[in-house]
Amino acid sequence: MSLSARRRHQSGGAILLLAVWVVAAWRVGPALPGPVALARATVDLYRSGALVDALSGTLVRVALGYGLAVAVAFPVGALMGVDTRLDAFLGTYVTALFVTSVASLLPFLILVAGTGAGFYAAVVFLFAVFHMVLIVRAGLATVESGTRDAGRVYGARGWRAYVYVLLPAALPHAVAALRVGYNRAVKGAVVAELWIYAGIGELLHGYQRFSQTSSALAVVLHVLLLAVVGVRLLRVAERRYAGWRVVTVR
Amino acid sequence: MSALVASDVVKTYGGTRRVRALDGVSLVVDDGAFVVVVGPSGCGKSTLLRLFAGLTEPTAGAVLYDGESVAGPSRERAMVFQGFNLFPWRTVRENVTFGLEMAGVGRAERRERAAETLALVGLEADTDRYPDALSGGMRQRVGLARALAVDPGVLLMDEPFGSLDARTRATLQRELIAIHARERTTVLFVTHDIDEALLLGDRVLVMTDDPNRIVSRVDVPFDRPRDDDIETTTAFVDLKRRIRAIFRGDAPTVSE
Repeated sequence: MSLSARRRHQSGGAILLLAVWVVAAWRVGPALPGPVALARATVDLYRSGALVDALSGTLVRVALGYGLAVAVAFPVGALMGVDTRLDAFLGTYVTALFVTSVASLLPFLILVAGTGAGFYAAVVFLFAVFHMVLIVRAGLATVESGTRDAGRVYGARGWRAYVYVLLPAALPHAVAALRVGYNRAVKGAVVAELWIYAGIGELLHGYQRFSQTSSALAVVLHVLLLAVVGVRLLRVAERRYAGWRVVTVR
Repeated sequence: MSALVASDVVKTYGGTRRVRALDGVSLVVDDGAFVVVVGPSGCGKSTLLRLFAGLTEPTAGAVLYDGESVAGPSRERAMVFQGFNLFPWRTVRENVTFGLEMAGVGRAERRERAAETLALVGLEADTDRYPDALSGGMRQRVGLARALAVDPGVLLMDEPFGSLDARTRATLQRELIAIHARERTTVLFVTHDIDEALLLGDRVLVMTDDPNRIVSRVDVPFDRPRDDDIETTTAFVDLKRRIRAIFRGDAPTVSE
């Protein structure tokens, strides 16, 4: 599909969604705010400063846990992708934690890490790290044998094989891992905050208690924005640095 | 002087059900010669090339380059692959200069060498493009330039034109003949195409499967430079018929 056709379909989807929303808000009544009520609530949230405070807190928590996850996932995933012994040693546990609902570990984590900064970092880290390890591992493990052969024939052996062949070949997976990891990190931060009634979680719980649905919806939309903007920025990096092969991860 | 020698080489793969990819193969490739190994799929001809490239080791027998046992890959034995195996994250120039970069050759000299070899394969205008933007024929030109750039003692070519369309293949065959005439690089070329073998080689080694070994050696009688017209001569057709009979197993496997 051409870019302009894609944009046309995107705009069409947005208009349809808006129409459904207006009609639904009109039918449901005050429980579901319409676009105008949402806009008003958003302005109020910015005026009071509540949203900016909560969002900046969330962003710091995301950054901390995500940074930690990147620092661990990249070397571990890269080594698992090339070392079959390490892969056998860690693979089962990483995969098991990948399929486990990290949210189910939260009560346990509160007991271990308390409810301070360590807890948020741990939750965001656990949400992001396993997906990233597995994607980076796949990137290195799936480098074609022909590519490795060409590297060997033309002198890339030992550390040179990593630096000049394996790592560049896995770069598209690395960028995909950053993207998926960021998405997971935002989810992790929101889940953690909902549990502890902090930041965005505290706002959402408060609005729910007093049935301020328009304000709650405004907060949710900003969380969405936080995730989408981050992923978009990483997509730009992907096209810039690994445009020769885009890895799709669903 | 013999550039490449294989002496009674056996190569087996697998654990319990062992496959004999090569079953007692001996051959000699003289310096500057263009030798083609022709055989059906699965006869072990690519394995033979990988042994000379140092990408795998023989189970028994000896594999020599320039009188010395082959131990691992070396830029002296450059390889051109059927699947091109270019690095998609590097531009045409960066692909061509990869071997030189690994050898620590400076940037200015690399650029100069890239310009020379890319001119040799007719790609001077495409130096900054990425492999994904090139056609199959152009990609294999890059593969050939990458091999020539390291100034190898021998070119190992593994069915390099096998995945190209007939017209592109014919063009690249002609260009390879011209490059070989000019550079006099020793070439060991592997193919399943008898026409290609007779068109390119000074000598054709015929391999069969089960057992996987060289059963016949044909010294190609056609003078160089050769053009496409030789394919319609009686001598060419006779040789082709004989090699085909060897494949079928109903011809005596005597050396020419």
